[in-house]
Amino acid sequence: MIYESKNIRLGILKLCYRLGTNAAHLGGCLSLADIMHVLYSEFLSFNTDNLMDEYRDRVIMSKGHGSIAMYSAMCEVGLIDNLDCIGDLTGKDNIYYKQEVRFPKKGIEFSSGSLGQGLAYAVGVAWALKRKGNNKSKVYVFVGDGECEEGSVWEAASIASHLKLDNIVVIADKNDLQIDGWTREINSQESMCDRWSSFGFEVIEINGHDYSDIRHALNVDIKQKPITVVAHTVKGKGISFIENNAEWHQNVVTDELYEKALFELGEVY
Amino acid sequence: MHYTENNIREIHNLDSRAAVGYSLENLYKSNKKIICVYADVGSRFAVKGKLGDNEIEIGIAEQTLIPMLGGLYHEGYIPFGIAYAPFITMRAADQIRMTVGEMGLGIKLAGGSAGLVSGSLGAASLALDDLAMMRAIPNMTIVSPSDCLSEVKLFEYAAGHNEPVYIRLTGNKLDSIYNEDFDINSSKSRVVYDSGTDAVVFSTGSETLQVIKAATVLAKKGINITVVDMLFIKPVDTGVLDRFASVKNVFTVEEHNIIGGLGSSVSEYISENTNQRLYRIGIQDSYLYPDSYENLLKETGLDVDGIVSYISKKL
Repeated sequence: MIYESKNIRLGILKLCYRLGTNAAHLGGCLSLADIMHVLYSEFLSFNTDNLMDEYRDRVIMSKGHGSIAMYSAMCEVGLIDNLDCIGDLTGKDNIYYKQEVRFPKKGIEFSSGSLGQGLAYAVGVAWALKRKGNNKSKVYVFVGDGECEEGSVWEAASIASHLKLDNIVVIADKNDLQIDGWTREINSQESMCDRWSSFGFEVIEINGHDYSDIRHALNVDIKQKPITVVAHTVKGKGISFIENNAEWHQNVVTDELYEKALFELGEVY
Repeated sequence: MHYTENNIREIHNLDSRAAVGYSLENLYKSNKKIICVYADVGSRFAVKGKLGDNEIEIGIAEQTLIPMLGGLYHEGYIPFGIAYAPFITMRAADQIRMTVGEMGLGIKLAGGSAGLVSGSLGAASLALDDLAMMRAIPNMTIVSPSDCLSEVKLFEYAAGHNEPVYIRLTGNKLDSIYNEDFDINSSKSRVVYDSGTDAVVFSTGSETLQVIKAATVLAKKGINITVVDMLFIKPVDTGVLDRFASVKNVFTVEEHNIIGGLGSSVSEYISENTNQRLYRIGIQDSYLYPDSYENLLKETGLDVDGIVSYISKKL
C-alpha cells in the first residue's frame, strides 16, 4: 500500500529537506500522501498544456501545511515538470512555497496559511462554476482536523450546504495531532462525521491510507449536497520517527534524519 | 453609464442605501459579469431581485462573504459584497487581509451604515475604525461618497477597475452636492466650496455636506475657507494636497476615529512634505453610548455648529 505512493512521499521528504532550517510540515503532508496519490493519478481532471483550462478540477489546499504534498502529487502527474522546478520554497522569484501562494497559471488556485478560509473560497468557485454551466469540474477542498476548530469552517459549511453545492468535495485529514498535541485532548473533533452530516453534507468515513477506501470515497456522486470525506490518517505516515509525533507538525530535516528517512522509504542517501 | 439631467434628479431622490441597488442594477444591465452577494441586507440596500440569477443571499456570514467573493473573482466574475460596515471590515479583517492583501483579488466591498448613522444601536453597530483597518491592507482602494450621485459614480468606478475596492457608505438621506456629471478618473477629490484660504478643509462622506454648511456660516463671520471632498481615502489624492500646500491651516473632518482614517492619511503625507498645521476633527478615540444620529454628531462636534466653533477657535 505504502509502496504505491513511495514517490509522492519521497518528493515530500526531498522538498522538506530543501527547506533546511526553515523547517517543514512533514507530518501533515505525509498524512495526505496516499489520498493525494489516488486523487491526482486516478481522479483529478486537468490539462497539462493549460493549467487554467475551464474544465479542470480545482484543488483548494485550505490546510496550507499540506501544500508540499500537493506539489509532490503535481510532479507525479506532470502538472509540475519535476522537483527541481520547485526550488527551495522561499524567495520572491519562486512560485511554490511551503504554504501555497495563489498563481493560477501554474495551477495554484488559492493562498493558504490563514486557516478556515478555503471552504468559503470554494463556495464562490463552486457557485461560479454552476452559474457558468460548467457541470463537469469538481472543487476539492483539503481541511485539517485542527483547522476545523476555526468557526469560519462551519460558517462556510452552512452556506455550501444551503446552496446545494454538490460539486464540492471536502477532504478532512483527521490525523488527530496539532501543534500542542492530540486533538482529542485540545479541542476534540471526535464527532467530526456527525458535525459535517448535521450541516447537510454527505459524509464518507474512510481509512485515508487504504486505496480501496479512498477510491470508493472519490467515486461517490451525490446530487444536491456537498460531500465530506473524513479520512482517518496517521500524521507522518510512512516514516517511523515522524509518525504520531507532534514535534513533526513542523520540524527541521537534518542530514542525519534525511538519510534515515530515505532508508525507511527504501532509498539510499 | 450616461448621466442626464433626468437621471441625476432620479439619483438624488434616492438615499444612500437605495443608491446601492440602483447602482448595481444599472451596472448589471450592461455587464453580466457583475455578481452581488449580500449578508442579510439585500432588502435594506434595495438589491434583492435586481440582478436576477447573479445575486446570492448568504445570511449573516461576513467571514464567508469575503473569501467567497474571492472565489467568484477567481472564476472571472466581478463580485460585489454588501453588508453592514463594521462587520464587512472588522469582523472579516483576516479574510480581507488574505483575499485582498495577499491574493490581490479585485473584489468590491460595500459597507453600509458606516460612521454614526446607526447611533441608536450603539457602539457595536458603528463603524468608526473601518478606515484604519482597510487602509492598512495593501492593494485596497477606499472610496467614500458624499452624495448619491458620487455614490453611483463610485460603484461604476469599482466595477470598471480590476482592483479591490471598499466603498464606505455614511449618512442616510444625503442632500445633493454634485448636480452634474464629473470625471471621477482624472481627480480623486473635488473642491466643493471655495471662498478663500484662511483654511483648507478635507472632508469625506456625509461630513462633506456639514462642512459646506459650516463654511457658509464661517464666511459670514469673515472666515473664508476652501472645502475639498475626498472621494478617495486610499490612495489619497496627493495632487490636491500639494495644490493647497501653501495654506497654513489644514483641517480634516470625518465620521471616524481620528486615529487611522482620513486625518491620519493627510497627516502622513503633509508631515513629510509640507510645513502646514493639521487639525483632525472626528471621534476622539472612544466608543459612544447609543443615541440618535443628530445627537451623536452634536456630541462629537461633527455637526455644523461643532465644526464652525472648532475652526473659529483654531484660526
